Amino acid sequence: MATTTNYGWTTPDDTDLVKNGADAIRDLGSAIDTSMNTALGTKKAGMVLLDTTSFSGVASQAFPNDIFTATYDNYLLVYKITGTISAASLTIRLRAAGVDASGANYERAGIFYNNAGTSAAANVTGATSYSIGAIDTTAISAGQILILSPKIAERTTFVQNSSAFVSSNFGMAAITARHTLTTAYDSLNFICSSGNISGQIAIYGVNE
Amino acid sequence: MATEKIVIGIGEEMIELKGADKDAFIAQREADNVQSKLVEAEYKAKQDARDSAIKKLGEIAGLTKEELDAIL
Repeated sequence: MATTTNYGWTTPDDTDLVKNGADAIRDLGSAIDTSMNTALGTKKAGMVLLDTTSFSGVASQAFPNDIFTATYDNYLLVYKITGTISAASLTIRLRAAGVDASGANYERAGIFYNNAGTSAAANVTGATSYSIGAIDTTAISAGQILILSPKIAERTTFVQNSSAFVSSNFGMAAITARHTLTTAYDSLNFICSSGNISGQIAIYGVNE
Repeated sequence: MATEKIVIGIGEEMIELKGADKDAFIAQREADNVQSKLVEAEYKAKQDARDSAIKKLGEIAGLTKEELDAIL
């Protein structure tokens, strides 16, 4: 019997009898089923890309509604953004049913550090959004944020590792943040404090 | 500010805000600015203090700015 190149599934030869065709198809189907379960069942992808959105010249950019679902507890956000006004603040708000959570329920702890050797604490409580740092007009503000439990009725937590611009100097931000309400959210929104933003945002579901 | 065009993106859709929605967005932005300015102010204060300390150090040690830059 012939076999396929990558997974060695058996296929009938041209000289095999037609009366054995049903049996050959069953064997092939069983072999495919086993391979697919291995790839997607017991060894499924660690992260699944859910959405990539490229945008230009907007004051804010949100993911579509229902990007956070019951399929995943946790998500990874990757972003690359520039602004039209240097030192504008880039913030995030969680969203539910198309409405931003803009109450004073965001808190943040961490540090900004720039290449001029200066640091600033990123500690904030009772904020109306989660500020992820300032943006620049020529260089890309980029990073990743692990978002834990946004769709579960728990406090949503963020773990950020990114570039940041402060006082026009390039730097980094290492921050944890959280939303203090135990509300389930289905999306989030990037907002700049002045001017417009352009770039790309992508969200991945983290498999467990 | 009132004449500023505000366009927001939701997924692939772009929406121009007008009227009360636009006013609300601008007001929220101004409130957000307060928070970012606090961080910027802390940074600037630390940067100014650092620059002042380096200058005094240079004066005490008799080092030029270039020499200080080389070792700091």
